[in-house]
Amino acid sequence: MALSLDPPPKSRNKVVVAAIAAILLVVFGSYYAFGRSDGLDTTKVCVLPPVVEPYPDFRSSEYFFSDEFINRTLHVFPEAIRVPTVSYDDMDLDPSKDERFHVFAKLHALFRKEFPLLSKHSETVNKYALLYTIPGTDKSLQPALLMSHQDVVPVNSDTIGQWDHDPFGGVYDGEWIYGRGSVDTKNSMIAQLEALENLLEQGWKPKRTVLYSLGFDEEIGGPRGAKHVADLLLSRYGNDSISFVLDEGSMVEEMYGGHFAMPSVAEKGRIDFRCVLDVPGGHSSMPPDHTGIGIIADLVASVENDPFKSTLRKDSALVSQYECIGVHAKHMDKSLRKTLLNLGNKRNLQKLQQLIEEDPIKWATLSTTTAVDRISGGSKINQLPEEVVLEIDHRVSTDSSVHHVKEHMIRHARAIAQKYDLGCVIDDERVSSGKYGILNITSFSTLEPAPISPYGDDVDVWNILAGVNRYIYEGWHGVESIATLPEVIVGNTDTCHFWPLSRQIYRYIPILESETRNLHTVNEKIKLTAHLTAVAWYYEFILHTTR
Amino acid sequence: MSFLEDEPDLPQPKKRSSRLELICMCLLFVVVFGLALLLIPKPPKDIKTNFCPIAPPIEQKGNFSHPSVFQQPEYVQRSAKLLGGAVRVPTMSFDDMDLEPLNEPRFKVFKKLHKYLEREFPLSREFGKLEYINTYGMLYTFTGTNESLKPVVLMSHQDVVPVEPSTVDEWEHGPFSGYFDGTYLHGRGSCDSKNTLLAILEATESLLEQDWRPERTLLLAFGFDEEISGRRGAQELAQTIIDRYGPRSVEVIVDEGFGMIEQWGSTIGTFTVAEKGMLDVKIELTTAGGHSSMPPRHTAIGIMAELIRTMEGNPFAPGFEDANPVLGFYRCAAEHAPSMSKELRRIILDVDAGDNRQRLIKLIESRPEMKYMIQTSQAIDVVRGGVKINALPELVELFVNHRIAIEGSSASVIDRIESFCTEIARKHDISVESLGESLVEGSRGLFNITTLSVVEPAPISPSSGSVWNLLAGTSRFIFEDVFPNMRRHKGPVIVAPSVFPANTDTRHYWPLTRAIYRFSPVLLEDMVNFHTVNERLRFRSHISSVAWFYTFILNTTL
Repeated sequence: MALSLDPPPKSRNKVVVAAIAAILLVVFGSYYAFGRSDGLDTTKVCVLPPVVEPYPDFRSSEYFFSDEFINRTLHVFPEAIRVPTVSYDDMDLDPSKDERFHVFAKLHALFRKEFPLLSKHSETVNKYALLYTIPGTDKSLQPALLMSHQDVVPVNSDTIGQWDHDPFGGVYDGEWIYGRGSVDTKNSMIAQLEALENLLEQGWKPKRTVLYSLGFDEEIGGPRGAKHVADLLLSRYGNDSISFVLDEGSMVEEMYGGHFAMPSVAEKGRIDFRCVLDVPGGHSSMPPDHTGIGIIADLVASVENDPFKSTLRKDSALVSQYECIGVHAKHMDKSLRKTLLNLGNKRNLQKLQQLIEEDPIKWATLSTTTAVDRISGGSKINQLPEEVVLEIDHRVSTDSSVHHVKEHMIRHARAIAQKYDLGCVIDDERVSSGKYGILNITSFSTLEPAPISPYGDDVDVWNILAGVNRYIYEGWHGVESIATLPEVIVGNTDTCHFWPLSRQIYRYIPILESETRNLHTVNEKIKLTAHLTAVAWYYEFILHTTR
Repeated sequence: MSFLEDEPDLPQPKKRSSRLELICMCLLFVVVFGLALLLIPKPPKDIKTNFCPIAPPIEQKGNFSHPSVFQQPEYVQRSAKLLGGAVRVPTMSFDDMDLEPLNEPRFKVFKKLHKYLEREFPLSREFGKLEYINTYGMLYTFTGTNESLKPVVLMSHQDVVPVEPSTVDEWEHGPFSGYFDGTYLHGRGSCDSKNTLLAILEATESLLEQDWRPERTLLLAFGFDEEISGRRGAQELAQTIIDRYGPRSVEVIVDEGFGMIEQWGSTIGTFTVAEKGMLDVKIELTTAGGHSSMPPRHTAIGIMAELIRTMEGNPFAPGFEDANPVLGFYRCAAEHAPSMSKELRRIILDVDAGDNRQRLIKLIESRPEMKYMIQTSQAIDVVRGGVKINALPELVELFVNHRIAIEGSSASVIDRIESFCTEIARKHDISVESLGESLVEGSRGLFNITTLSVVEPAPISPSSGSVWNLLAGTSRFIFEDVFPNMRRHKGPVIVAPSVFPANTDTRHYWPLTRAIYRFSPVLLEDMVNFHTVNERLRFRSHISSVAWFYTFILNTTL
C-alpha cells in the first residue's frame, strides 16, 4: 500500500480544485438523482472507511486484553496516578524556581523503570517535559507526533471528603480506576507509553520517525512544557515538518443508538478581558445615582445582551459532523434525520442552527461565547466602592478572530464610558476621555482560533484513524459500527503551540466517554476496559501510520 | 454635611424661538389667564405665614457667672490644654472590634482617657458619681433635688474614627497631636466629637466650682463605639438609664450634630429632629457552575448585573410631606432669612399651590448633598462573584446599603427589592427566597435576600413647644449676645429643624423620650476635615460650646 500521510503540498492546488469539483459533482449529482425528499445518498456520504488489517508480523492487539497485560498495566497506571503531578495557576514560569514541579521527577523515574526500551529514546526539555524520538528508517517521510501531558488539575481541598477513594490513591475497585488524572489524561499517557514499549519489545523499527511529547503544564497553558518542545522541534525539523499530530481530546460518544468517534479538527480561540473601573469613593449615605458597581453592571448587561452570532455554513466541520450523525444514527426522530440529511437546503440549515442555539454546549462549538466569570468591587457596606474589577472570558469561534472580539469590547466599553463620563483605555490605547473616573481594560490569554485540520475520506491519516476505530471497537469492543466525524473543541490542548509544525492536528482519546466519569471533579474515574482499549488502539494506530 | 450654600437656579420654562409659536402662546396665555382671573382669586403678593415663630433669647438662670467668662484668654488656654490632652489619647474604634469589650485589647487605651478625665474634672467625677458601664461607657449622674422632674441627658462619645496609616504623613501636626496653634486645635476627634465631650465636662466642672446643685437630675452619657454602631457603649448606657428611670422618663436629650450655618443672610441653628433609617441588604445568587468555555447566555454575574441595573434605574421616589423637617427647615429660612429670593420664598411658603411642591423637590434633588435628605438612598457598595476566569461563577453576593427616608420603612425597602428580584427571577427561571420565605420557585438558581442590619427612621422630635423654645432661646442668647462676632450675619439666629442622613448613638435612646436633638454648639464651617486628614476645629467654636452647655444646663436643671 503506497500510503502518503503527508498533507498534499500547496502546489497541488489544481488537484485540490479538481477534487472539490468532483465532490461537488457527486453531491449535486446525488442531490438531483435522489431528489429533495431522500436528501443525501447515504451510501456515498460519510461512508465508513475499510477496517484496517492487522499486521501478521506483530503481536495481535488481543494481547492487551489478556490477564498478563492487565496485571502489568494495573500496576503501572495506578502507580502513575499516585504521583501527584498537580499544576497550579500561580506556578512560576521557570520550573526550576517552583518546587511544586519537583514531584514530576518521580514520574520520570517510574517511566524509566517501567518503560526501559522507550526510555532509551528520551530527552528532557525545560527540565520536566519529555520528548521521545524513535528514528524512522525512511528519512523521506515526515515524522509523526503523539502527545499527552503529565500534569493534572488540583483537587479542591473543600471537596476532598467527597471522594470515594483517595484522589491520589490509584485505587482499582475491580471495574473502575479512581483518581485525579485517571481520565485527564494519565490514561492516554500510559496507554501510549505501553503501546510504544510493547512495539519496541517486538523489535519494531518504524519507517516514519515517531515523536512522542509529554508536556507538564497543559492545564495551565503549556508555556513551560509544550511550548518548549514545539520550539525544539521547529529548530530541529522546521516549519510544516510533521506529518500529523495526535493529542488528547474528545472521545467516542454514543448518540441516537450509534457510536461516534469525534476527533477535534479545530479549536476555538480565546480572549479574556480584565476591566478595572476606578471612581471616586465617599460615604454611602450620599451615593451617586450609579455606584462603580452599577456602572460595571451596566457594562455586563450591555455585553451580555449583544451576544456574538455565528451562522452555520454548509462547508463547515460542524455541518459534516451533523450530516454524519444523521447518516449513522440508529434511533433518530424522523424529522430530525430528514433535516440532517438535507442540510443543502437553506431552511434545514436554519432549523439546525436553531437547534444548536437552544443548547449552550452545542452553541459553544459554533459561536464565540461570552462568560462573565469574576466580579469584585468595594470593601465595606457603608462605603462607596472606589474600584470594581470585572473579568470576561471569550472563546472565539473558528469563523471569527481575536480582533473582531476586541472590537466588540471596545464598542461597548466606549458607549459605557461616554454614558458615565469615564476615561477609557483598552490595552494602553485611549478610546474615550472623561472626568468622572477611569475604565481600564486589558486583554489576556489571547489565542486565535486554530487552523482547521483536514478531515474526510480523502485524507489518509483520517482514514487510518477511522479504520483503527472500526478495527478496535467493532473487533474488540463488540460495537456494531463506529463512524468517525470531525469535532470542534471549545477549550485548548497543548497543540496550540504546534500549529507551525503541522497542518494535520487531531485531538482525540480513543475511549468511550461513557466509560469515564467526573473529569476534573470529585471521583474522577475510568473503567479498566476503556484503558485497555486505548492501549490497543494506540498500538494499532502507531503501527498503521508509521510502518 | 452642608446645606444649600448658594441659591441654585430655579427651573425655568423653555424659551421658544418660532414666531408663530410665540403668537399662539400669547393668544393662549391671554385666554387662559383671562379665564383664570375669572375663576380663581388672585394670590396675595407677599405671603404672610407663621410656620416658624422665633423664640425669645434666654439668659442663664441663677446667680452664676456670665458665660462670657469662657472667652477670657486664660480660660481659652486652659480649655485648649484640656481638649488637646483628650485628643492625644488615640481612642480609635475599628469595624472588626470584638462585641465583648473585655475581649478586645484595642479598647484598653480608653482607660487612659478615663484617668485623664477623672484627673482633670475631679468635681464632676465626685458629684456626678461617675460609673463605668460595660467597662468603658461613662455615665455621670448629677442627682437633682426634685425627683419629680424628668432628667436631662447630654451625650457624646469617646471614640474616634481610625487614622488611615498611609495618610499619617499628610497630617500637618500629627493625627493625635492635639496641637493648638492659637486659632485651630488639630487632631482626630477635635471635631467628632471630643470637643462636645470636653465642652460638657468643662461646663459641669465650672458650675460645680460655683456650687451648682441641680434641681433636675442631669445625666452625662459618653459611649465608646459610636463610630461602629454603639452596641457596646450607647446601647448599654441607654439600657442602664431605662432600667433606672423607666421608659419615657427623660425630659430632653442633646447629642452631637450639625451646628450653626450661615446662609441667605442669616445664621441658622440646625437641630436635627429626625434621622434616616438604615438597612443593609445582602442578595446572594447561586447558580450551577461549569466550565467557562460553554457558558449560558447569562452567567450569575450577568443576572445580578440585570438586577443592579433595574435597581439603579428605578431610584426611590422622594418623600416630602408636611411633617418632613426638611420642609420645616426651608419654612424657617423662608420666613426669616433676609436674602432668599422672592420666588424661592414664595414656592416654600405656598408649597401647596400649583406645582410648587414638585418644583421644590426638583430643586432639592438637583443638589446632591440635599437630595438624600428627602429620598431613600441605595448604595450598591460591595459585590463578589466567581473565583476564576475560566470557571462560571456559582455564587454572586451583593451588598446594598440603604438610608431610609423618614417617610419610609425597612419593610417598604425590602418589598421593593423583592419585587425586582421576582421580576428578574421569573425571566431566568430562578427561585427567590426572602428573609427565609420562599417567593418564587425556579429551577436554575436561587436569589436569597437577607438583611444585615436594620435601623428604622427615628421618631421625629417636636420642633415647637417649651423644650424647643429652651433650645432655641439658649442658642439665640449664646450666638447673638455672648458671641456676637462669631457670625457674619446680624439679625436673630434662626433655629430650624433638620434631618440627619446617618445615625448617632441616640438611636439606642428612643424609648427614653421623643425630645431627642442632635446639635453641636459650633459654627459648622469651623469644623474642618471631619473624619479625614488634618481634622481640626476653630477653637472659638469650642468656647461657644462650653458656654452653650453651661447655659443650657443651668436653664434646664434649675
